[in-house]
Amino acid sequence: MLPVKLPTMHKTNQFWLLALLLFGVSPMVTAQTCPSNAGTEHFSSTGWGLGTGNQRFQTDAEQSLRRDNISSLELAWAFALDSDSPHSYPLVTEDTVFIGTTEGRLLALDRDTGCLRWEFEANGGIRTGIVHGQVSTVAGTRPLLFFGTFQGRVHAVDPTDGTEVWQRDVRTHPFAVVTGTPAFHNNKLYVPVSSIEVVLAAIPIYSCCNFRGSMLALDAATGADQWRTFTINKEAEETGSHYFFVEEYGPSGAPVWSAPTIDADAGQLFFGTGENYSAPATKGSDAIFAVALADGQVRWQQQFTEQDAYNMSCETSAKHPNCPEENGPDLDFGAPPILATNKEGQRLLLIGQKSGDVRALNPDNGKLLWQQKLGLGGKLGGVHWGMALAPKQELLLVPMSDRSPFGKSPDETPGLTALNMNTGEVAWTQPAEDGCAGRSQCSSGFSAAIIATNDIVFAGQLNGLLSGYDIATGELLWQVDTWGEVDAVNGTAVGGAIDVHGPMVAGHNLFVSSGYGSFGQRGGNAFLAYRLKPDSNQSRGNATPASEVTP
Amino acid sequence: MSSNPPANRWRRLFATGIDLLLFLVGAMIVTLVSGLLERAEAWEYQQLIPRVALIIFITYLLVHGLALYKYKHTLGKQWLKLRIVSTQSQQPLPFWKLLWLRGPFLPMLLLLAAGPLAVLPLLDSLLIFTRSKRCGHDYVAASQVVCVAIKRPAQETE
Repeated sequence: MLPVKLPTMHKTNQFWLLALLLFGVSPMVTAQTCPSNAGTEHFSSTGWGLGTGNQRFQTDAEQSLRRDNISSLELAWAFALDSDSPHSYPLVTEDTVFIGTTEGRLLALDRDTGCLRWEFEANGGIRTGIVHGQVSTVAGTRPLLFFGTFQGRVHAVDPTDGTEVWQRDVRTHPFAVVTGTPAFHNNKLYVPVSSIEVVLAAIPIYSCCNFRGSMLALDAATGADQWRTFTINKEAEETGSHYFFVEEYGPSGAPVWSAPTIDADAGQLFFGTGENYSAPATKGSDAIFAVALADGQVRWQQQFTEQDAYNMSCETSAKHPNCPEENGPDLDFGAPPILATNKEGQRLLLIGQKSGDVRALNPDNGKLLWQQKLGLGGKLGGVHWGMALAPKQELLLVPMSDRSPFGKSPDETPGLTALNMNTGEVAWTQPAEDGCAGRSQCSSGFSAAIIATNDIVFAGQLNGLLSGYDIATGELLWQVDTWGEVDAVNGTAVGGAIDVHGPMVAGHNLFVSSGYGSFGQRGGNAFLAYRLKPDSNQSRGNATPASEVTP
Repeated sequence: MSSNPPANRWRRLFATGIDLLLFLVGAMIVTLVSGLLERAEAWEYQQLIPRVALIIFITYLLVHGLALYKYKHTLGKQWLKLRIVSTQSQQPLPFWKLLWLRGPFLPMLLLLAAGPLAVLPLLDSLLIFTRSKRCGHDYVAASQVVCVAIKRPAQETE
């Protein structure tokens, strides 16, 4: 499955192309360039969670995909991204879609044709969704784009032409990264900080570990620090040594892997944490935090898995000197909490964990309201990247990955489930379609985050299937297979596993990145734009009229 | 020394194996004692290569530098009765040539585990199969590895 057609190429080119492929680099054909700047009049979302409550719910005003027109949703264009594990979530305006690449390019693509308006070179691979904020400055209010990188930087960029406004190094550790998408609120940018020290720990002579997860607030206009709250109160101290000379440190870890959830009414934000990287385990791991928006003071924190200390050294052997005694079970919160209000006006904080547990908490004090276990859970989920809410039906949509890194378990129950958000009762379940016949590096779990509208929930699977299900019944309404080659506006793209941030709906479009080569999954570089056929646009939200689309 | 024949290829390989093993053990000890790779900063892109280079240099000096200075060959060659001589004079090479011209080729063997870069040590080593039985580093240093004739002790007379 080569990303270009070799037989039509000159032999010299074939040689270099094969050399590139051998070195693991995908060819990047320059995309057609559009003449104009990006439109910034209307943004279809603010960032990862679409709104600050991280509901991943797109209103009817913002999109036009319905039960009765979804069958006419078809591929409009594809764009070949520049690595086999895209890790960004798009942001859409009236005429432009912004998407980051893991090679560090922020692309502004024409929403209807996929041609390139501009690109911005970031300091490090872009690892988060793209965030929009209307920022007040001394010169007035202006829109800015924000995103985080693998190098622990946060960038602010002008959406019109891609010029940089500021960038900040937010690391407190050399291997800190920004994985969770920042959230913008009231001229502040809230940045979750995680770390890949969890991987570095696999090196036996490495002094594991001293990273602490944190939530950082920045002035969105300048990038200046406002406050930082760590998930572990004290810095790591020496706890022992091995091989006579290699010191051991702890506690560490409790990274923040996902986007924070803003609760503007109560002046607080919520975020979930991962496991400790080294012993001793702390109360801040596998926990939900509520902190004050103003100063980052912790209002409450609630831990859901105790004594979870783990790093990648444990994958080589439990006797590895850097593997903590606890040795897992590695049950992070990778999915952001969802803030919801039911029809009675009761506020709920809905959380999903890699353990397969889904819970509702009281957002004011963290008290458990209900709990439901939906899957076997494990290191790759459980609930992995993100759930969605259907407010009208009061349903919480839960994607279940249930993928073991070491082969299939008979107890896995990958699928998509709708829960009554008030009680946790199951409304419907759609088991994952296998879809892996004849495919290697394939599994069926719903690992990626999902997105809901009033009618439909869209979910992608690790086998490349992208589906739309009826919110009320779970009935399959629409499905495409994104696995394999597809002609792209800049060459040929390759689809694979759908993972990480999942699909985005805006106007009459649905966008998704297909291919994610981590964890032994099928990589790919396809950024796919689907669009309703012109005659099926019964209502369009803020989309560009399909009749105006240039193919 | 002038009449010593070129070393047997297998004997050279075995001597190199011994030298490499000593080097690896030495590098592990140097790494542990120095703590050069213990901290996270060490594994940053900008710092990793200079630190590894420093460990390699220190290890080479400690493990083989002394032997090169004292005997003009490495320990592996000493034990297998091999000698490094100049192709011109058939005399031992000066220390600086041993250290700076031949020396870097031993740690270069580590590149065998570095994907496409493995071609460098492979090329260096495979030249041993030419008629002159000299590796790439022998050409660089204008040297040759010879086998020392085994001297039998003189028979005692009654």
